[in-house]
Amino acid sequence: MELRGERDMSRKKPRWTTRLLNLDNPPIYAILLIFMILPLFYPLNTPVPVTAMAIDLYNKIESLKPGDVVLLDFSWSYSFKILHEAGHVAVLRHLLSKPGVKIVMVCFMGADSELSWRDVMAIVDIEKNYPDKKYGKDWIWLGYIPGGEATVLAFADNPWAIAPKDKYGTPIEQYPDFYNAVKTGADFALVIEGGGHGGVNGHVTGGFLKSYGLKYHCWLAYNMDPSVIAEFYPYYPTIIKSMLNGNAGAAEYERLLNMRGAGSVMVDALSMTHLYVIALIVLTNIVYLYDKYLSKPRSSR
Amino acid sequence: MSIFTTIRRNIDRAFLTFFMLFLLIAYPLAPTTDFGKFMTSWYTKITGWITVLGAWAIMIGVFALVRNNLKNIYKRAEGWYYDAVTIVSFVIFVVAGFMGGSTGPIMTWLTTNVTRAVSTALLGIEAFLATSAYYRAYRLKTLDAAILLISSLIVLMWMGPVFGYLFPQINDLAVWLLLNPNSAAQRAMFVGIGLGLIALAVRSMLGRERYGA
Amino acid sequence: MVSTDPGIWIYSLLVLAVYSFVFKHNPAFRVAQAIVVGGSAGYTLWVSIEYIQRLGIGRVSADPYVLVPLIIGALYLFQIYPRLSWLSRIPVGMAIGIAYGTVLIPGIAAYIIAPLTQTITPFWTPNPLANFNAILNLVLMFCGVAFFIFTTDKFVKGRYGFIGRIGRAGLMVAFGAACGTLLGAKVTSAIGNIIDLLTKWLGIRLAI
Repeated sequence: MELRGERDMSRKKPRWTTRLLNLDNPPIYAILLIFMILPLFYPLNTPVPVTAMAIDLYNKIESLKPGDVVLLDFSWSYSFKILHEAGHVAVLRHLLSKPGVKIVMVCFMGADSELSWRDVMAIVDIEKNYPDKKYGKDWIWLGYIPGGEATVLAFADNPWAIAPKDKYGTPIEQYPDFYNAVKTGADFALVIEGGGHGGVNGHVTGGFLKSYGLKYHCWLAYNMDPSVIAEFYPYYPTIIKSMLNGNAGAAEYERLLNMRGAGSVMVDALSMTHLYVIALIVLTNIVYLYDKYLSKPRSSR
Repeated sequence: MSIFTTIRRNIDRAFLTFFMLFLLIAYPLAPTTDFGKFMTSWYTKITGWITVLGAWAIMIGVFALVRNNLKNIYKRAEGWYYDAVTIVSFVIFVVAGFMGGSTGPIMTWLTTNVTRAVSTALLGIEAFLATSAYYRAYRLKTLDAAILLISSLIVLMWMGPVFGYLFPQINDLAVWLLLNPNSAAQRAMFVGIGLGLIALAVRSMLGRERYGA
Repeated sequence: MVSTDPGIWIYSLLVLAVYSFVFKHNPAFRVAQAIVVGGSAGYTLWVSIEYIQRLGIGRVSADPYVLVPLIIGALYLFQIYPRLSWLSRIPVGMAIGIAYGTVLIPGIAAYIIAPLTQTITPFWTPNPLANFNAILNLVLMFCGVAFFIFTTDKFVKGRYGFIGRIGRAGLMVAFGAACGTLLGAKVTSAIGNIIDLLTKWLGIRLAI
């Protein structure tokens, strides 16, 4: 049996607070899209404050001497290309500008991380932009080495036992600059891991932390996936010396190099979308608290 | 139980236990004695084997994927036409591999225009889904929810470069939060993970963990 | 000027098909997903075949012992035959054994020893902020371990319930920080896709 009040309530419009707290997705997504697209047409040119981590990595690369060997890892899945590419392009350009510094490029993440390497190399274009840098003398590419964390740890213990040939099938002994200079992970002057996937337990990121960080005490830096950077703070700055925070970190590094790359391009859109999300959360909670504590009691309560 | 059945049931555990114990013993040894040299040289050899095993496992994973899709198509299971699309795409990429390998021009074209499109877009849609999740989940209902919300807001402001420029104190606060309470809690989780790792290794040796075919 | 490159058109249509999921689950998204699953499998197969050729078979003359993982790895194929599928567990056991043997000791160092040594720091120094941080880290870490591992009611309710509540508060800070960093990664990918669609497909000049 219907009570008199119930039929009236079913015809009442929901309160404005209830409607605001239960918005459908399309308007939320539409505003997010606007905040993503607008800065591409009307850039704000926001100055990017450069953090200590980017400065530390920059200074470390500046301090590298001829003959130093750097391990540059490209272990991000192709889906994460946009996150890490800008940072690695900036760092690689900086490394290539240092005379006599040797670079070992490798990836451990998955077969498609070779595509990530390929795209970075297409942007940097060593042959055209750095014609004095020769393959086999200044840099080598070992390709994707499967096996997960055990491989990363084993590579740190004895790189040329795990990768006796480069990606093109040439034995590493034919590159004496690398074969003689590096016997264990401790011989790398700088180790830069690209990826961060899986966080500290990730098979590549965790492997780099355990081997190069904890065992060999290398100068370890990460070009980090921002979504897991919080997990690595316990190891900073004692074990991990620097972390580039995705595209924002890449933008900071580009500022230090006085160049404008993909990282700088996205800074405005990143800032605007974060502003939108923060405003959305704050406004929602103001409405929520108002609805809960300050609005008039309703007969439905 | 016959000896053959015993071997069949425990051979994988025997391999696991042998290799695990061998490597655990070899790990801390230095090549200063004959025994140390023997163990460290075999440690290096054996740890290199995992790369080949990993490559085989990847191949088998791909075959398993293809087999399951073909089974679904044969049985006309629900959504079998999507499985047919998967197989067609697989065949196209395999044929492209025959014409130049994984770095050939056709494979490069396919990976640039097909794989890259969907892979990056699958991550991009999460931006929208995450925004919706922030809107719906972040409500000041309890004290724990408030702590979650406030720490998220501080870190969200830190992640947007403009906030660091306008309010440098936000950067300092966020870095303090990440280095102190966040790190302390993360370390608590790591201890749990470390103990779990030991437990899992012991359980695998004792045959209490199921894995494999 | 809209692009006439078929590759860019395929790229753009696939991106739009995936983004259509945001509004509604639809067949276009499923087709795009199926295409990338098959394509990634095909590409991955070639990379692993090349690896086995280059650093497996190609290495036998220099290091004959590499035949051991080559032969044992081939036992994975026996998954297909139910009567002999037990053979396929041998390479699994071997791989897990090697993985544990390599990872266990560094894992204990990274997950147990390092966090403990980093937590137990001097808390009676001239710097009051450093003292506060050291005490906070110690308290939150041990309360977090108590809450995380000892999930009995003793550490959540009752006389010692405050330990669990402090630990839970610390964990909430960590989860909040993790959630806060999530958006940056996802938005970056979305903006990258949008830039590609606008510049390479539609030929629109951007001001960036």
